[in-house]
Amino acid sequence: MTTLTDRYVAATLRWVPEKSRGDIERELRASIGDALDARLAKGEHREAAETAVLTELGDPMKLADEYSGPPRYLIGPNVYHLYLRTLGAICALFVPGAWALVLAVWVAGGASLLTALITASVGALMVGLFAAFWTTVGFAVVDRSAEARREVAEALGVAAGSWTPDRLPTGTSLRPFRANDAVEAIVGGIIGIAFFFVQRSVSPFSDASGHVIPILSPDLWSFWAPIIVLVAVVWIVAEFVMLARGTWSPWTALAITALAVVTGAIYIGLLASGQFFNTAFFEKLGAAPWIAPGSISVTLMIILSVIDNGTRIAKVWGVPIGKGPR
Amino acid sequence: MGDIEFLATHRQELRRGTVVLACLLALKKPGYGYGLLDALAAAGVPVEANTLYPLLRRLEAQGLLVSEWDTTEARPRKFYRTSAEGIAMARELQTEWETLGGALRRLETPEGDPE
Repeated sequence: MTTLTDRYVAATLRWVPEKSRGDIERELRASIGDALDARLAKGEHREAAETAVLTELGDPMKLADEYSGPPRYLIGPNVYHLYLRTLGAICALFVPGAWALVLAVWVAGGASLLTALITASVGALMVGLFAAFWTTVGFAVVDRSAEARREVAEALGVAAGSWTPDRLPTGTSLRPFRANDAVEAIVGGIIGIAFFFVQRSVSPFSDASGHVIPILSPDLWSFWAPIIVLVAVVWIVAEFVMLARGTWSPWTALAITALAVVTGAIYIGLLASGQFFNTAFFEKLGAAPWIAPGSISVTLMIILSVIDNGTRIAKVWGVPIGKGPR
Repeated sequence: MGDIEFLATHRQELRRGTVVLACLLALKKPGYGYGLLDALAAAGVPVEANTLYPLLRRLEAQGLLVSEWDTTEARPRKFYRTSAEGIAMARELQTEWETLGGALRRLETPEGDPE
């Protein structure tokens, strides 16, 4: 007959390394027997005594953990910070990128904006879950080997070995806020907006009636161009706020992330569906195939945009891009 | 409510390290799992069974305890005894414990003293 003790011992041994099972079983049974005898000697009822002894010993899984020794965690303190940063970097790069790409492909395929938005959001969520899952699995494996820990730390540009004050970041901000990035974004934004307006009136080509042929599609001005300009202005303001405060804040970072995602999505969507450039201009230039949806040059522009916006987002959250001290 | 919880946590933290020393000292005379559990509780160092039993195996793996199965009685029991290394370790730990105790006494400020 299987007793409660038999079941308890089996439940414990299940989680204990096989080679030590025999010895642990004998010892555990003896200990349970001794404790049981002590209670019976005090006049306790057998069943009640057995239940009490096993309750005192507690959850067999926890007992098995104690027997097995460390580690009793998925991601330990040694790699926890590295894990968080990697997870952040991967999500910052892949989730908005996937979102923009799926959106672009669906819009280019002629789907309604709503369908495209829903598909893109679901797709981005799945990419995020997938990336997070495998990052976690990877780190859990790495954490179980000191050698692997060191290699991963080196590969990610995090110096191995003991810490010295030389490794301190140069600033004192709680987040690695760098003024150059903000200035770069502001200057880039202003040039971009200026180009949007200037290209309407300055162009090497003009049509039969003497009107200038702009580089960007004139149809943009009925809807997308004002939105693009507006988003760019908001972005510049956000970067200015960050620059003026001289410090990182989660709200400005969140705002810039949202702006980068929106900008990227609009730009990619327009490129992919052939609505961004003015076909008339490129026909005059003799380069109409360059801007055709699905062409290599357009694909390249889309990839560059994903990388560019992904990098901006990663930077604003303080994710290290590339090696070297900051 | 919170105070009681914190007290329990801090007390546990404080006691955790002393269990090893208590085992090494008590097992200079050979003993087995349940017997030691009982003896430690009687001596005023109560330890949970699910902490003590695995700990004995770990100390054995570290060479601080040696073990032997006693099969002469009706119930075979694994007897542990503190090894020579274990005795040396216990001496070190005891010195550490006494040094800390002295240091804490010196740190203690008399009641009512504003400093």
